[in-house]
Amino acid sequence: VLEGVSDEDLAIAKKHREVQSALTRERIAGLAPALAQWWSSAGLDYHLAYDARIAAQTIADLRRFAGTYVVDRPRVIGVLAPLETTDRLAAWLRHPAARSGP
Amino acid sequence: VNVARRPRAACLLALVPLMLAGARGPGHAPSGSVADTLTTAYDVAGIRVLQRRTESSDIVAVRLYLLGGTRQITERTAGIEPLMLRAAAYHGGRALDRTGSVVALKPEADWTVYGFTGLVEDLDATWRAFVDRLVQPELSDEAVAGARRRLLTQARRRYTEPDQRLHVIAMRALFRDHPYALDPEGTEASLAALTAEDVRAYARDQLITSRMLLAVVGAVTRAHVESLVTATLGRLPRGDYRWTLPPAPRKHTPGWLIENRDLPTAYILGLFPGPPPTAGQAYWAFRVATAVLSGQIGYHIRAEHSLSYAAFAPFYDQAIPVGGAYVSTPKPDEALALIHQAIREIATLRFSGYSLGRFIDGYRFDYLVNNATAEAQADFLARAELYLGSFRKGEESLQLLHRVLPEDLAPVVYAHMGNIHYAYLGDTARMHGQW
Repeated sequence: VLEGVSDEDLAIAKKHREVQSALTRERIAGLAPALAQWWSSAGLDYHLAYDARIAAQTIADLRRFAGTYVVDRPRVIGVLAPLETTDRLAAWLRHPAARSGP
Repeated sequence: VNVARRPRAACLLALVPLMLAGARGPGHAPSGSVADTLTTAYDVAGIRVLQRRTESSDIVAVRLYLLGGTRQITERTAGIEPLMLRAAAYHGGRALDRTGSVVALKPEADWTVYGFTGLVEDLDATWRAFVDRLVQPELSDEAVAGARRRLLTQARRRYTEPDQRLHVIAMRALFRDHPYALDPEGTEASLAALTAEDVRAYARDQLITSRMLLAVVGAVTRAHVESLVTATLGRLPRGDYRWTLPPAPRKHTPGWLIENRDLPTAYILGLFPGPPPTAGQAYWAFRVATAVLSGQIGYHIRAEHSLSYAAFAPFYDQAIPVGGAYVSTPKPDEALALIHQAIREIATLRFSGYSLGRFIDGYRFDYLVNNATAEAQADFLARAELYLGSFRKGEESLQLLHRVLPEDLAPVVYAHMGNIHYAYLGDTARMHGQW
C-alpha cells in the first residue's frame, strides 16, 4: 500500500494544501460561509486545528488509512470510453497479477 | 464557452423584474475613489513592472504578460507559445511543485499570461524555478513531444466538446480576416505540425524583454522584485517589440457559421464586437447593456419558457471586447426568437434610472468580489496598463460604470448588438429553417 510514495511526495502534498488554504482565506466572500459551516458542523476548535493535524500526518498514517478504507474495499469505477477500451480496462482490473502500471 | 466568462445568471435573472420597475432619476454618482498608494510602475532591465504591495495576505501573485497573442501567430503556428512554455517546463523537475504554487498559463487573444500564485515565504524558490523555464529553456525534442501530447489532448477536447467548439467557430464567424479568428491555444493540425526546431527558433526570437509586462501583487518590497528580475529575466535580449492595440475588425454582413451534428441539444452562440476600453463611457454602456441582455435572455428563455437551463450573454474582456448571446436547447428556433426579442427590448423598454442604478450596484459588487484576490488584481492592473495606457486609469475607468444611464443602452443595440454573428452546432433540422 502506497509503496511508491516518498517523504518528498508527502511534503509536496502538504505544501499544496497549505497554499490552497491560503488561497481560500484570500477570498473573503467565501471565508464567512466557510467559517459558519465549520462552526456549525465540527466546531471552530476543530477547524483551527485542522491544518496542523494535516501537517502532522506521516506516510505510516496514510498507509494505515489506505489499508483500512481503500485497499480491497468495494468500489465503483466510472469509465466513459469506446467499448474496446472499457473491455481492456475491465480485463486489467479483473487480473491484478497482470497489472504493470497504475 | 469559458465558464469564467459566464455572468452570474441567477443574480441577473432575479434583477430583471426590478429593471422594469422603480421611479428614481438617472444613474447615481460614483462614490469617491481613494487614491491608490499601494501600486507603482517601474522599469527593470527593460521590463515594465506593475507592483501592488499588500500586507493582508500570505499570497503573492506573479503574472508575466507575453504580449502579442493572436498577432504573434498564423494558422500554421497557432499554439506555438503554449507549446514552447510547456516544453520549457518538461525538464524542470519538481522544484516548482515543492513550493505548492499554482502555475497559470493562459494563451489569450492579446497575450499569453504565464505566472504563478503561491506563498510569499516561498517567492524566491518559486521565482527561480519559474524563470528557469524562460531564461534557460531546455527545448529538447523529447520536451516538445511531451508538451505536444498534452496540448493535443486539450485541443481534441476543445474541438469536440460542443461549448468550446462553438466558441472557436463563433470567433471565426465574427473576426474573419482578423488575428482574433486564430486560436491562440492552437488547433490539432497546427500543434501536430509544429517541429521542435520551430519551437526553439520561436524561443530565440520571442523570449525578449520588450514583449514582457510583469505584474506582482503581494507583501513584497520593490527592491526584492527588482533584484529577482535583474538577475534573471533582465538577462534576456531586449528585442524591439512594441505593444499596440489590435486593428479594428472589418465590418461584414452578419451571418451564420454552422456545424451539423446529430445531437439532442443544439448550441447557439452569437457574438458582436464592442467599443474598446479607451472609448470610456461607451465601453461601460456596452458592458452594462450586455449584462442587462444576459438577464433578459435568461428570463425569457429559462424562466419564462423553460427552453434551457443555460441561456445568457457572455462578455469577453479583450482589446476589442465582445458581447454575445448563448443558449443550449433542444428547441433552438424558439430560443433564437427569444434572443432577438431580448435584444429588441434593450432598445425599446424604458428602464428607470433607479432600477438601472440598483443593477449597476449589484454588478459593481460582483466585480469587486471577483477582483479581491492577488491574482485578479494583477490582471486588473495589467489590463488597465495595456488597454488604457496606465494602470492608474483602471479605477478611473471603473467609476464611469456608475455614469451609465438608461438612455445609453439603446445606442448599444443599434451600434453593436445588431452586428451579431451566429455560430450553430447541432442538428440543423431543429432550426426549421429559421436562420
